Amino acid sequence: MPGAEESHECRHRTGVLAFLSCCFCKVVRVDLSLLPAMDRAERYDRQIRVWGDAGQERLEDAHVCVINSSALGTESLKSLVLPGIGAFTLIDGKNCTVRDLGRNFFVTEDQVRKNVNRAEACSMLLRDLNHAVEGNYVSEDISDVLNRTEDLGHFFSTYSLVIAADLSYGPVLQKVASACYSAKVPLMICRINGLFGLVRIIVPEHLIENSRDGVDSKQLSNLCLSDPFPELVEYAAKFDLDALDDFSHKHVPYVVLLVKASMDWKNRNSLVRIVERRDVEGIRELLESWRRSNEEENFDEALRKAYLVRFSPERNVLSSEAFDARGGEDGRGPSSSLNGSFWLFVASVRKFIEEEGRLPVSGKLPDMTSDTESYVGLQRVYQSKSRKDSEKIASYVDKIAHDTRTETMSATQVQYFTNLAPYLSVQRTRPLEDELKSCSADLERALKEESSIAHLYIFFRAVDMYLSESLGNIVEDSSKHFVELQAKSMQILSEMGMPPGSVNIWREGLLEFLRYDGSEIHSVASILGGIIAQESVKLLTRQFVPVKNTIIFNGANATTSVLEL
Amino acid sequence: MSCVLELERLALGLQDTGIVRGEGGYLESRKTPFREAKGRTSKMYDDDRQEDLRRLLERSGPLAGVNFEASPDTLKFLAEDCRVLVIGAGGLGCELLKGLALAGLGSIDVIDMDTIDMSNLNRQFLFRDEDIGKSKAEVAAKFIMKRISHVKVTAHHAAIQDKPSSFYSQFNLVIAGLDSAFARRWINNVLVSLAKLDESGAVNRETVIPLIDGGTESFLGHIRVIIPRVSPCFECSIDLFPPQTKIQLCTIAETPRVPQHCIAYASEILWDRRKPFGDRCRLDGDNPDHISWIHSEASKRAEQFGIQGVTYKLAQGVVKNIIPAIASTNAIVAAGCVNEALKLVTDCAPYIKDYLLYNGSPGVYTYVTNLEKKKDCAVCGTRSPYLLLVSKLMILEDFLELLKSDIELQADKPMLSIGTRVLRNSTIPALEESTRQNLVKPLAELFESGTTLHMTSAYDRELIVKFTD
Repeated sequence: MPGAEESHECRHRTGVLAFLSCCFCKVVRVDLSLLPAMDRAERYDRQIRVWGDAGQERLEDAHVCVINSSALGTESLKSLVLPGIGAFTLIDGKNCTVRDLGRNFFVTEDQVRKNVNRAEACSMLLRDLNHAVEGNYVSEDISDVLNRTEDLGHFFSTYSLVIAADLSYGPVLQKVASACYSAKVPLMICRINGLFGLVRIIVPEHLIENSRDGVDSKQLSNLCLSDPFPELVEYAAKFDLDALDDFSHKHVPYVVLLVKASMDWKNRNSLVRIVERRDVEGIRELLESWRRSNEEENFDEALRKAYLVRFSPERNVLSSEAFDARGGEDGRGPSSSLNGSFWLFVASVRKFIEEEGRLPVSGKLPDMTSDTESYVGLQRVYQSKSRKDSEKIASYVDKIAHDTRTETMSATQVQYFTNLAPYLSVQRTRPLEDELKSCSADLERALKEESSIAHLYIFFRAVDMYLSESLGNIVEDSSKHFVELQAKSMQILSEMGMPPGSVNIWREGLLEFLRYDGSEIHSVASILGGIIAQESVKLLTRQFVPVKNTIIFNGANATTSVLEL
Repeated sequence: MSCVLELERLALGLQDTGIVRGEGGYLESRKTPFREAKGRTSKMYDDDRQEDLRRLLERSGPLAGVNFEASPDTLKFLAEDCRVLVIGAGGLGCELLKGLALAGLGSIDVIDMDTIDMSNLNRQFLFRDEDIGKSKAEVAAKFIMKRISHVKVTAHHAAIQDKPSSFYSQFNLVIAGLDSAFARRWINNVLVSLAKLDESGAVNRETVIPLIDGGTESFLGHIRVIIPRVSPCFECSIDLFPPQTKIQLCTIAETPRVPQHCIAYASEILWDRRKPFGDRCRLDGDNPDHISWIHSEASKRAEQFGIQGVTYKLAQGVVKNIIPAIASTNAIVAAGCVNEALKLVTDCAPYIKDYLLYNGSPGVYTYVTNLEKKKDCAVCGTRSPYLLLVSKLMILEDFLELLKSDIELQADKPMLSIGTRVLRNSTIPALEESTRQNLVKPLAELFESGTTLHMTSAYDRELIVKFTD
């Protein structure tokens, strides 16, 4: 994909260099001979059809760090190694145990017998899944790694993404989270207990270049039917409907029909724009009057899509976060050249919208009933408009880059972004320290629902707090666990600013939480691992829309719930 | 590893300033009210490796199923008596085998007729480059047994249709990771027919073999749990899987607009007309020479019409009808199937009724919904004949197209007969030849209005055909 190539930032390579000189990291067989190009294309064919070559390149440049090679950690990595991330590093100070054999597919009996470090064992077996991936491991506990590392921000900035598997809500996680946040590296906090699980994504700013969502509706609104540009009006005017023979008449593209009908209606009623619904109805009637028979599918399509002529100032995209973002104001990227290009482009598009009152045309035309010539002609109109828009944006890009003394973008890169303009987006989440201190509006709403699985989030924190405080103080009366955990849950809620009595603790959920007692069921680890890998792919490729920002899973009834913490 | 060592490490884990959760349970080292299991005997399941499953299966909780009994017998049953069949050793199948082996199953069978291809390796993680060309079922079974010593996996390198129903009746549960609706309908029919009714018309529970069906496409997936004759069967809701809409022939022939139309022209019209690789050679999506020919012809047509975007990759996708597949969705759906299997077999929590939809983008979305049992279902219902109203002038070939596109029948290459007289059979060469002449005949020349036809496709069905003219 042009454009994307030039904007690559190669964290993986800096990561590898950093690690070759790193004293406590071991690299498992660096295989520098990459897969032959044809094999690579074939091996990854089914997924490249999903995220394209640009997405694949991003994956291959990524270096993912996984803290703890528990089943949750290895199941997540498995679905990242298979599609071919560049490299991974596993951090784990434990050795393989018999218990791992019953839940972790990447530990063997032989490794247990030999008392091998678990990060080492798992990285060997994971790497075996795909030899194009580089596997590293650190056979130390994360707390020791943190203690001996001076510059944590620098340490984590060598990774594209950090996955914290089964790390409790204690000081170590907080240290990891704050280092990742300041280094602008996405972090996933992943927890599991029996049939329950949780995945929280923390990223100060995630830029989505291609959300791939609402493709149909976004493509349609990008046809500019509410405010047709002169070249489109001119093209539509070439069709003299009355003079056409029946075959041609039923093959006039609906886009042309809608432009003609809306221009006609506007002229008749001296309107500048179609705003009222009744005008859309009028246009529908006009189309009906032009129609020669009920078999004309192009008229069916035009009648169905007539709502597109009604003026809506592209409100959705304009008001979306991407366009009123901090970084968008001056076009200066916060952390890297890749982000820089994104914000430079956004600033330029904002300027374009100020001037033109619309988003740039992307040049993509959906298929519709038409003869070849009319369709291809129409496609050319949009493509040439898209090129013109892109050129105009490129001139803004140059100007802003010059004014702010930042690097400018190439023409192909600008065209690449122009095509994706409706699919640009930004996600931001607050840091862990804020999350721990104050209850978000969304969490508050969810907690107040009866038996909401949002309570599981509180339970994970309560259990961590209970265990860290009651060390050495073994409770003989087992019913006390429930009471204690309930009290801890209340304490956490109150520390987060929830008034006493405003939330009823989900009793069954807590009892079930105790039943599972910290167990790691493989199938649940595998479901969560799949979700973690999926969200990782979204973050790494900058495509699709990640969960915002927490997903809670209840395997007892196979439900999920998304929360913004 | 000795018990003492394990306990020591456990204590260490807990003293770990709460950083990394201790290796035992949260409360394992303390007294818990949930410890009910006593008197384990067999080595296989009385192993520390089952510690995590034991929490779930030997303790009860408020979210457990109504018939759940916390007992060590459950693990024993899973290890010694429970027989599960996995259909398909592809993207879902590999994950299913791993999941079942780690869910405490002692014996698993897997059936798949396919061999390993390079394009499988991005998600079918039990296969390596050196396995390309070998049987999927056999390589997968070997891999699992090598990794997990106490599991026995029996491979069947065969098509599911090659096995008699007695083969299927030996299992407690069937899990399918298939990519075709036809195969799903076929196994659904077998399992429903194995579920027997007693004299009073009630289902004999002993004969019921539940079916769990998983499917994925890109970020989308589904899990379906079918208890034959008890819950809705696959055929009750066949309309959930509408037949693929084909591009209209006139678009392909006269007014192509997008590259797919040009590719369809090359593969559906030019191939038959030109027969580029000889008279008898059918278009094979896996043959690079064939795809290259299609690509080149489609490119010529595209150029002629001023259409852009014909690529080799797109040609291959259109000809083979390639379904995009990613590792993460496979993992999620297959592990979800295993989780439902574990719940279904042990009742440690209630299984889903009846259908779960998974959508992985935007965000993550899951939805569980009940489905309706269809009274006159052709498989699990009254099996009443299906009535078709057609013109007597319709030729048999068009009639077959109709059977294929009909939302309830969706009969792909069906065999049609009246009594012992075969009207059409396209699979057995001798019959194919002798019935080919019927294709161009109007229906009125073949049978009278109101005739009952016997159709065999994924299962047998009676059709009553009435003429409207």
